Amino acid sequence: MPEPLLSIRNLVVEFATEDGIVQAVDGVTYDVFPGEVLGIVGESGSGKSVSTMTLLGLIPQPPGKVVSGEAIFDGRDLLKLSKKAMRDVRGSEVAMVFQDPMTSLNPVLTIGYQLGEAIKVHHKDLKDGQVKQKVIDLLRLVGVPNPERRYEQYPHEFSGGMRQRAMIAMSISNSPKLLIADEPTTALDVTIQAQILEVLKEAQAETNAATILITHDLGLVAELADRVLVMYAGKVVENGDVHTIFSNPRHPYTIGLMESLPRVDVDEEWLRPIPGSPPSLINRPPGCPFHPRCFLSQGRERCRTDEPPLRPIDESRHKTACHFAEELRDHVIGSRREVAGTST
Amino acid sequence: MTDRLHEPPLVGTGSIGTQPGMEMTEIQAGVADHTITTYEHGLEVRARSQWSYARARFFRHRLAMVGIVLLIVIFVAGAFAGQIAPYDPTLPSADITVSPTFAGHHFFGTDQIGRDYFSRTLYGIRATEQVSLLVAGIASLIGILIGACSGYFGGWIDNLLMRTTDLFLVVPALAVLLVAAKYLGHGSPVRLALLLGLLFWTNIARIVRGSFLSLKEKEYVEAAKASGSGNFRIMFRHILPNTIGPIVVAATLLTGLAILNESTISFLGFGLDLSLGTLIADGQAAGLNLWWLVTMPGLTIVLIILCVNFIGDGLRDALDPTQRRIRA
Ligand SMILES: Nc1ncnc2c1ncn2[C@@H]1O[C@H](COP(=O)(O)OP(=O)(O)O)[C@@H](O)[C@H]1O
Ligand code: SF4
Ligand SMILES: [Mg+2]
Repeated sequence: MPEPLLSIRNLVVEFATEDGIVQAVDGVTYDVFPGEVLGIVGESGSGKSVSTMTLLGLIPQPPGKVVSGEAIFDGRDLLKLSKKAMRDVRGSEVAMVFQDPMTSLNPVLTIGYQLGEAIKVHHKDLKDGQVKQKVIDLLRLVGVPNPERRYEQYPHEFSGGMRQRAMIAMSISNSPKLLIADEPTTALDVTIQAQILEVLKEAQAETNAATILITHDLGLVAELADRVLVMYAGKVVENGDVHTIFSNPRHPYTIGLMESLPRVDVDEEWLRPIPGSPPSLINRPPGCPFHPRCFLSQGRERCRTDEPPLRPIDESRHKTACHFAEELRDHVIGSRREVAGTST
Repeated sequence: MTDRLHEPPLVGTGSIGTQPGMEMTEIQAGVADHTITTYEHGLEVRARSQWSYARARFFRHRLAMVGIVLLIVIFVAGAFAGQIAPYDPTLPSADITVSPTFAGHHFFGTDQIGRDYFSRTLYGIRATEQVSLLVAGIASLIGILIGACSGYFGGWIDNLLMRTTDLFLVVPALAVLLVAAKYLGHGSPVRLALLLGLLFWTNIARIVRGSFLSLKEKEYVEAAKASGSGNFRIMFRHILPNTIGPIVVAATLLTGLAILNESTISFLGFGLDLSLGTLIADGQAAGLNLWWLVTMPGLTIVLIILCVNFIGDGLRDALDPTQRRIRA
């Protein structure tokens, strides 16, 4: 097994708000291996963004606070870097693609300037002409037509899809070892999502950067990811290879996510949102964070009192945080319908 | 929101190309700001920027246009006082106490020792414009630096800088100016401009701070951070250009304030040897019979201030149409 590129151990991040301490990330542990695509899925508010923003020191402090944990990247703990060292990592070894390309480009600076700056910050020795050539090559690589002319243009002259291409170009401009794409297609038109997905794939193939793909779209994960991490209420509740997760999910929340997907192969009636809503992250109750919404728990005492640890199941690379995961061994996606149907 | 009705039609100025061979297709749909809806599938998309709308709005603002034309005429006349003035402003002549006339080019008349007041006013404008532009520059520089640091860093830096700003706001500017001018000696436009600039940066600092407070939360700032840009670069390369509009408005209005203050100080005898304020003071000493000695430089000041304020108004309306007042 190769050495992980990034090892996050027991990461805890809190926010001080008026209502109390929000435990946005609560003991998250995972690895990212060189060249792989790790998908992180979970409902909105489950701590996906915070857990990755923390790696680059991008959560506002205060109100945010990294309470504990480490993030070993290439032999260094990212959480303990000096400001200067962190700036050197940002955009060069670890780069990000943000969710909304309409707001993540500066409206008063040209696309060329913004991409050029991302390069120059890390390569002060490059001449302006070289930087410009590199930017144009990058724009061409991500499929921006007419890059020489586009170089001079402002973001408002770009469409959403073109902007996201530019953002992707920016993120790979220094050949990062790790690329974090936080909901890179969520803000885009459905018809464009597929194109951007292709661009991301190409960018990933071109740089062979390990990629963390954050999304609440399981379809995206199925298409791109090698491994999947499922987050719920600031915790990792299941992780494993993408095939394992999709064919043999061992956490009721993962199953819930899958069953809430619209499916073309089954009747529309299968659409089944997970009942209830994510728990408050302030004053977490004891027990399993998923228990008020869980179909498997059936009111069992242990779910309300003991927090299930993330533990291996079936094979070493598949882990789940459910006391009764074994009961899901022969679970067939969608099969709960009959059960639920007869009980009501 | 009724004044929205008077907004230029943002939608529909573009046309979707249907003819074959049409290379560029303009698609625009402006909402409150510069957001645009666009179409993909190989279509080239272009839209007018917020700047071109602002420019259009400014050029439609009649008073601002009148103001800018007049002010340019006045300031150019002042700048070229040496070439334009028909007489030496300090030399007495035989034409004593001539009232305004075209004869002998004494457009603004002469005083008791025969100095030509048109020439003196031109030189007065020159001094006034030097001082006021310098003040606007100095105050903007200080205001931008302090406001930017305050808004961007927040925390104790913000507290410290804003308390300092409050302190400057409660200082009675005129008293300080008179005292300082008295001890620093008078007659130097640069020194006077420095003094005024040091007193009048507070408004710009507050405006810049406010803009930075909201702009630093923008996603593009986060994106710049994530690509490794340092604080200095983010503050002055990424955020500052987005605040230029309000700064320009404030600096324009400040120019007017600077002219008034310079004139007041000069009028009281602590300012420049020859400025519009000095001229009014001299004229007033000469008595009411020589009415033109007060009126001509006085009207010039009023005209300049009016122009500056019209321009400031026009700029504000052009750059921030959501806050415009309803105007017939
Ligand atoms: N700046 C902040 N201040 C307070 N709470 C925050 C802040 N940023 C994030 N949070 C909280 O952290 C939790 C996790 O957020 P996030 O990581 O953005 O979720 P996700 O990306 O999975 O949708 C949310 O409950 C959110 O309310
Ligand atoms: S531990 Fe209990 S509540 Fe939690 S997921 Fe498993 S069965 Fe459901
Ligand atoms: Mg998020």
